[in-house]
Amino acid sequence: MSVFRKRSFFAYLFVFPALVVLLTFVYFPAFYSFYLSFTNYNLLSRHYSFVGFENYWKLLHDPLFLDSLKHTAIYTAGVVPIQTLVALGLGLVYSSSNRFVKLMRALVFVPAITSSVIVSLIFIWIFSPSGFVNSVLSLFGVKPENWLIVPSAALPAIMSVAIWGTSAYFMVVFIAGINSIPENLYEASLIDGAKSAWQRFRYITLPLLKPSVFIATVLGMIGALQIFDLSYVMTNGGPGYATYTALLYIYDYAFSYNEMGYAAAASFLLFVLIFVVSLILRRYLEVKRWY
Amino acid sequence: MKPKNLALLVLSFVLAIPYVIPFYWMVLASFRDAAMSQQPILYPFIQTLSNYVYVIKTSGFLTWYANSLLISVVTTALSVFISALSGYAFSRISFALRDQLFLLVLGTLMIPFPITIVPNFILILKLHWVNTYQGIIVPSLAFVVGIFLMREFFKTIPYELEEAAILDGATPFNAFLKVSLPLAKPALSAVAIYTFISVWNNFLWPLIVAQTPNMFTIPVGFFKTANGQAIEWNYLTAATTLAIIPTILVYAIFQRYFIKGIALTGIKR
Repeated sequence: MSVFRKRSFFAYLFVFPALVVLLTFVYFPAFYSFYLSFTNYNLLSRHYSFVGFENYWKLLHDPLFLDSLKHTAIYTAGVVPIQTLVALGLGLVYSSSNRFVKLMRALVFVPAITSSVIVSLIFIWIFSPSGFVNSVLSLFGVKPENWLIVPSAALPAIMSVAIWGTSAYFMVVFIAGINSIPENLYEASLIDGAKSAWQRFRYITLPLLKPSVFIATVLGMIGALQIFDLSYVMTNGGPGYATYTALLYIYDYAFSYNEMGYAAAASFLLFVLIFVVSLILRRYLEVKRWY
Repeated sequence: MKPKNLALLVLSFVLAIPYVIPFYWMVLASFRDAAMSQQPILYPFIQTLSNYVYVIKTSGFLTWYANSLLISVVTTALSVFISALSGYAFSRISFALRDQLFLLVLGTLMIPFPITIVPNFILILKLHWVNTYQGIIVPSLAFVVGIFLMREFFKTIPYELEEAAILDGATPFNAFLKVSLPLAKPALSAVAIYTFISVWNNFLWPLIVAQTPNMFTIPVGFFKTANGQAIEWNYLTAATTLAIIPTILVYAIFQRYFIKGIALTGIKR
């Protein structure tokens, strides 16, 4: 009897540290952020007051905020489908258990474990006049250019870096999905007349990978909407504001202008956007495994 | 060898090239002088080691390296322990409100990081934790995916092992520490490696908290050095090459656990 009472005492003790951290640094901030968004809280002034929906009204009338949302949307809409497709392709190739293929897979994965700041710095060089992009383009007679200061090219350049880095990450999700497909399904399909590799892919692999596609798309989308590191380090939101994204806007208002209330309102709008997008995706993509 | 297999080998090699080349160039450039290091040259030769000497001696690089190591190791150790404790309680012990509390833990996955940065900064300002190690470390100590992974793993360890220990006179805490925890090594490793690499690479939160160069982590220090200035590629590539060594080592040694961890959860920190 006393052992059981003791055990539940231990249970509370065991979950205590995790709950304290999560309540203090995740739940409390989420509510506090919502509260702050209705104030004019500024780090530099002692007093603050309630301003109702003023922050939200100002945000929705600030062309820079709308622009930053537009860039975030373009970035997400471009990056997520392509990186998911590339990750699927990589998964198909690198799911083999051959030793050489596994070694190559380890190399493909290196971008996924490398700091986004280091990746950004290397790609600043790659897009510079003496970098790889220009060495390749010069073969086609294009004259060297620093692509990160060309307004129309900067955002696509950053998007390509994101696809490069994150596709390697999501490859692992597809490898796990592919390896969980029972071999006998392929044998059965052979008997049923699925002769070509394409038919086996189309009617067995792809349908059974729907859960992996779902995970890669939803997580890719949630991550992409929070794009910060690449555009902050590679271009600092520029040239002009060509690569300025929602999180850069929040960061600037919070930490350059100290307008915490206003930044909190912007972060709350970003949260709503992420929430709605993941709900929509769930509605359209989520499927149960049926084997 | 069958032609189909040969095609697979060739394809796996060709597809790996774009993922490796930037790092290959980075390492080569770090061994060249200022003018040569900017060139897109891919044949290997060592021109000089002086970039490494310069980086280690001149910049704040060693301080940032030490900060990154300290923060990553401490965060990883504490976070793994916290995950193991709560994962264990959630899977093994039945207590009032258990399922509700577990839902509370999982619910944090719905709250994206950006919404927490403003209030968390105000919080650590009030705690006088700005520009301190604890300001960087403490907010990221509870790793929800880690808790989830540990909970799933402890479910697979037979409870009879602990019962036997308790019958032999062990306290429940000792049964956890001496019996179940050692058996959970694969899950602990997955959580540890995952945490280490993501903390080592973390940028935005240390950027907000660390305000003076002596508190910078590697990503923050690199960013502040490169930002708005002409980059000296020979020094930068030497520094970045040194900076990716820990993650590459951890990944190479524990690759199997790492990939399994992502495959199980699919979730980025």
